[in-house]
Amino acid sequence: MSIIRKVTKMRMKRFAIVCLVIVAMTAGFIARSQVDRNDPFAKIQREEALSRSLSASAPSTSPTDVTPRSDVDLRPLQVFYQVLFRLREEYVEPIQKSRERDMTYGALNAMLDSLHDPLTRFFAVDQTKIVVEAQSGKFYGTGAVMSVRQDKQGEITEEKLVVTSTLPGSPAEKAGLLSGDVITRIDGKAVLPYDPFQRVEKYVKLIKNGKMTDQEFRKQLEIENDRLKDGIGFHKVIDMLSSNGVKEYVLTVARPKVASPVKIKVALGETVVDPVTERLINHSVGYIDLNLIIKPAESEFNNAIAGFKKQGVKKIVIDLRDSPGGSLESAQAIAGNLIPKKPLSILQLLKGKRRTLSANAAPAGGQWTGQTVVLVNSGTTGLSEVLAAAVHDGAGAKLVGSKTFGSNFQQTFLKLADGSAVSMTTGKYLTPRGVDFRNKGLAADVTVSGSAKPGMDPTLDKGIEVLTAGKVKG
Amino acid sequence: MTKKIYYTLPVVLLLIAAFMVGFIAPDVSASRGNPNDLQARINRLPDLLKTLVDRPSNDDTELPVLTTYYKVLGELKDSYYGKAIDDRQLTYSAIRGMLSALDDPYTRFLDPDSYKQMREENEGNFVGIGAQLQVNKDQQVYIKEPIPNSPALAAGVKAGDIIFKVDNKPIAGLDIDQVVDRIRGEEGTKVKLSLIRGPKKKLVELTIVRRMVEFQMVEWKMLDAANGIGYIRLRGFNEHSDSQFESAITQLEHKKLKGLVFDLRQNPGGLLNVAVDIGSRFVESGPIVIIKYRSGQQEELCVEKSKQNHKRYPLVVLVDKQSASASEIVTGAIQDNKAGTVVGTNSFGKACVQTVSTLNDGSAIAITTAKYLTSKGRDINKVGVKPDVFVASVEPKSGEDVIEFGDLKKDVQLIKGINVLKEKLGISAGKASGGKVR
Repeated sequence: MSIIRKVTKMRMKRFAIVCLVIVAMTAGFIARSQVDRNDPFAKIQREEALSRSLSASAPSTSPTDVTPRSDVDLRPLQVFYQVLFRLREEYVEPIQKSRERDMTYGALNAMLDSLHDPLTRFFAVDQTKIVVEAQSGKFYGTGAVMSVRQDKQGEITEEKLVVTSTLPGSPAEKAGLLSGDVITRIDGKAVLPYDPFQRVEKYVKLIKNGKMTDQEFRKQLEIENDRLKDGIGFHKVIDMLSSNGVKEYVLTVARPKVASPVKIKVALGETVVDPVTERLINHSVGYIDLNLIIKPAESEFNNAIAGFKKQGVKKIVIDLRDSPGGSLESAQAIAGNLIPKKPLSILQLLKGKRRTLSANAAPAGGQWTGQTVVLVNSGTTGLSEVLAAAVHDGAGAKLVGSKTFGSNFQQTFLKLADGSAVSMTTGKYLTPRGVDFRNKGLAADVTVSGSAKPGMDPTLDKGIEVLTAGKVKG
Repeated sequence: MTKKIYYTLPVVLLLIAAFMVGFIAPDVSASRGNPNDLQARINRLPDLLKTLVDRPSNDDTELPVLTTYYKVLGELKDSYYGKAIDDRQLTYSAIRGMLSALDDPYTRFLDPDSYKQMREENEGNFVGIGAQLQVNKDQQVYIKEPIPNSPALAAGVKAGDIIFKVDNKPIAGLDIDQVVDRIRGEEGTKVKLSLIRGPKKKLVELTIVRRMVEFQMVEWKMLDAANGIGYIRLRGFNEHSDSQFESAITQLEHKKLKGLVFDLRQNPGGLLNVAVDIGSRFVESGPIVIIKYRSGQQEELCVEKSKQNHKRYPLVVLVDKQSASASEIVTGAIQDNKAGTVVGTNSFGKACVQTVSTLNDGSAIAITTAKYLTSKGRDINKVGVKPDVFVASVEPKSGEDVIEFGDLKKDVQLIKGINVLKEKLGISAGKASGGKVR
């Protein structure tokens, strides 16, 4: 009884946190421009898109912009209004302005979290700034790219916070976090899924129907109790690990193929990622490491290609390993070098609608016509996967390495008037051939096992071999 | 299968259901309707969205609650790629999220189901046959106990009867909730139970008319007939609590009551007026509680003389950390007025009052609208009422059954309470039945 009581109380304490829960920073950690109302896929400047805020048309400034919508059920809205009205009139302490802001945040957090969708969430002002800075390659926190994996097992949906990759030179990389690590605790506190009470509810059902002993029930409740007591939701954990501050956390991670939990101490810090680095492998083979598909990468990539052409390079290796994606516009621009005007992706939208997204026209220097291979691994995520598939389908480039992550949701970012923001899933990127690679990932044409170590990079070696051998049996 | 955990199951389930609305403990609350002007305004939505709903402001960086919500909802409707948007559920989530910003667990939203359940609890009635069901180790559903004055008891249902069929349909394979659903129905309608009774497995068929049954809020017994020591346990403060209490004390008086142990442990509270009624049975005069409104105005809710229809007895009140709100009002009044001795642990410490308002779609909002002080002006918020005699609650060791309240061998708080009461009555404590107090 008292255990259950405790759990009840904890649920309350957790309520605010549960409201904050979740977000994956996979494909969409970099904001896509806001969809334009008339043509959702028109290219618009990112900055402009970000400043086009929701409340630029808010009723406080221009009331006529709140258009009643025929598809919104007004009854629940009326209930919302009644609650708000009563609070303002009756709550034991008059509600201050700053409290009202927190109430708006609370409402947005909870409504978006109720969708249990890692990419659909609310960002407070500070978090929004961090997301915006990531678009220029500047990252805060540990530099671990994280995503939420959801996996339905019977009645329970297992939800895990997974490290998909670590940014080059980041504290996470230095601390030894690895792609595939599941973060289970932060400073000893459990990382809680969207609905942390699923298990408790399951046990109650079991005991109610006599399928569990009293003793076992109490034991399980104690375990849940411990987990829930100081537990922190996904979104909050992601925010903690991505924040701009000086701090150290001890993460407990479950590592694939390692039996006992691994503890890793990781600091927060700034990580500046150079989106594109290139070098000559030999007189005929060039190498481009595309770390992030962001605005600055567009011209850097063009320059790299132009430079190689000038040097008479005939073949290139594009390295998309551990590349966590970026923005659609940048992917379209970069693809303009490789598959100009060809399809980059088919975007699956709601209600069965589809739209083909094309690569830009070739830049001034002309397109790349030489042979290309693309290196991929499990850290190749989101738009990096989209780009890899497009170059594979459109230019016949072989994918060398290992299976990609399998994340293809489009995330749209809406900045609100006070500098906070909302992100939401707005579609799904399919390959130009219409393949949905969600969770499955893209298979490599040439699989290489074993990861790179100092002085040794078997995947790169294989990529070069594929290029030099000309045709390779897949 | 007499483990306590089964006995407390209805409470367990109640709390789990409560999880859904994010509430901690039932509380002191008062109901009331909607003023007409509010209704009129609501009917004019969404015009109101433009002007009235959100505070007018010249600051365009502000995010007004409702309009911002409405806009984001629109964005989701236009572009969200995921499961279908359920306006109602999404709005309920938003309302709960908005309330979470108040950091006040008692200000909470009740969806229609939770509100219905709350009303049932406060009214203290439900329609049914009035039998508590359980599952045995063979996973058969059986009658734990027919409730006093219930149709089940009148029809001859006995504790231990195994339910075999409901309305001639076998129930094998159904879980207990499904069985309860089959038995419940409209008031005045009939349900036929086929029961298997006793070691001889006799088949008993009974047809029972469903009617309104009162929740049993009061449990009473004469603990020590020789010394006239009576025991009343109150589970909560609903609309039947006071009359059930009165009936219990009257029956104890017939058994020559001399002193009373009043058990408020695990009592999470309930209706404010019922707390005043019950408090009036123990306190001679003056306020039972002082309500402090947001305006700063204070209101004393004083003893209801009409409730003083029995003698006042030497009194011990048992409390624990789950004695909350209305329980604390009564305990505080008794302690302030030296009307009894409080034994146990510090109480929960909830000194606020909620007003529950019905909303348009059958949901409701409970809002903390006032705070209270005890009868002599003490603020017990977060501190609780401190007992006069501290006795820790006994948690069962792992693997042991939960200790039943009223167990004269193991319930150490009760044993201490009896000894304190004996001292008051001038009886030597040595005669106490039961074990030693730590």
